[in-house]
Amino acid sequence: MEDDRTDPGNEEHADAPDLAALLTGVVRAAALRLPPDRVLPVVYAVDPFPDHRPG
Amino acid sequence: MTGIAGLSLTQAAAEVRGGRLSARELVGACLRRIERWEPHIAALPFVMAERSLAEAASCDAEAAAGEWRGPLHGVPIVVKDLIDVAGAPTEAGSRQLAGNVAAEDATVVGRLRSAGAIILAKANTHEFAYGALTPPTRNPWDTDRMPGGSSGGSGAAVAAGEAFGALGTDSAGSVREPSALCGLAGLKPTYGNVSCRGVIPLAWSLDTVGPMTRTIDDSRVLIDAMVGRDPADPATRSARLRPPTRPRLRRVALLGEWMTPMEPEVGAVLGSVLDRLSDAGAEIEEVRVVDPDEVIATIFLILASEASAYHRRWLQEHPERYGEDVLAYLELGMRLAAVDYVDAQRLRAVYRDRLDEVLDTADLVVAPSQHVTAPFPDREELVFADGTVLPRDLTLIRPLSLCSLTGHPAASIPVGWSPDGLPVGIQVIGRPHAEHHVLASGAAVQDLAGWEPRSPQPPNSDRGVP
Repeated sequence: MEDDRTDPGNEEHADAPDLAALLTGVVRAAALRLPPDRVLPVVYAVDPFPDHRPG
Repeated sequence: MTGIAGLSLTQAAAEVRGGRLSARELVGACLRRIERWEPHIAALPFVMAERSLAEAASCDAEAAAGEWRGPLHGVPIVVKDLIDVAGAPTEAGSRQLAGNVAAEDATVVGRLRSAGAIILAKANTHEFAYGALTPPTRNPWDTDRMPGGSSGGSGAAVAAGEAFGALGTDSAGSVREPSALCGLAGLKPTYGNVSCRGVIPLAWSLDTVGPMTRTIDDSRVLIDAMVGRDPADPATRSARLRPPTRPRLRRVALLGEWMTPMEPEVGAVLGSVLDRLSDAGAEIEEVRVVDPDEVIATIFLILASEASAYHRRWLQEHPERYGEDVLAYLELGMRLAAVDYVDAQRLRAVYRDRLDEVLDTADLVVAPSQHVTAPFPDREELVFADGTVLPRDLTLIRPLSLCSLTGHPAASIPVGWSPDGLPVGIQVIGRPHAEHHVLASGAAVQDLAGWEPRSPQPPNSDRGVP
């Protein structure tokens, strides 16, 4: 998997790179509209709902 | 559905508790349904008949001595073949895990066993839960159609009466989608409320385990037994359920961005439900939280990145063991950039806050469960009446992905039937940890909708299946 371009399996999935480009393009455009700070990446494995603690 | 297999999970449990039925009779009824249905739906690759009958005999002996394990005493259920059951295969629908046998129960399986459940079988999954087709499983309501996925085996088995309930996993809709397509109540719990220890990951920051049942009350009983902290799963640090509250249907928010495109038969059922809500005094406000295409891109980027990380070693050593579709997705994930993954995780925080704002002002938040009824498995694109053409599998997770990203609990609730006799569901969304409120609200909506349960019949049936 070091170099996808040499992976013959990819020849059967020529649309996969296009899908990746499409998805990342949408996410990048949306991310550009985010404020630059204090929108932290969600890391649910650490604390899913910090504002909804018991009690 | 008549006879023992036609009972709901809660009814079956009550019959055992009341001494009117034995656990062995429950297991026997399910085994007869399995024998009759499996040639047509192929939902259960691993049935543990003898073991289940032996466990049922133990349950019956305990009952005779006045000992009760819990609210599920003697009730047979099935578990998606992504979830470990000690001594049983966990193959995840993949040649990658052929012959793998679990040494221990997953935490959630242990919790259900403690409540008295008997694990009757492992249910088919799309390979590693990475898809919606779940081959070769078919939909009991029309065996030419697919059951959805990736928990398609769980959905088909429960709809056909092969078990009284099932566990599925939901990372981008995989409990709610087959529940909607098979006419079941299916609950994606709050992220972190149910332990995923012993469950093969698809994407760590999205994975949940949820119940799939023929009635809403059955899902309530199962989720009560499933939720809890688990030191072996750090995501469960805040696991808990808010106390039940009386559902209110006065201020209803409809997530309007998922109302299009829409198969007319599904739109008609949802329109009827909204009309009935309105007639009952609800003020229905159509709100828009986020662009659906953005949600699909965000969840797929996260899911593909995390799945490829989990599968990296197998992908390097034995790529030939994957199916063609899963291999393509895993290779796609290997090409994604870390910076895009980070931005996708930041977008999640924005979506979560926006959905919280809607939940702050509404008594009830609803959305479609699906844009379509159960598709045919050989059609990889869905064509809508307005001319829209969308890839099938991404369309099936489209209305479900938002809550997978935000972590909020959401349920698909059956509310009607298409003219072809296929089930249609509506999605009910709630605050974190408010699973009871989601299910109670769903029950209120189902009542208003005038939901009438039906029974699927096996092909060439004389309509006399016990």
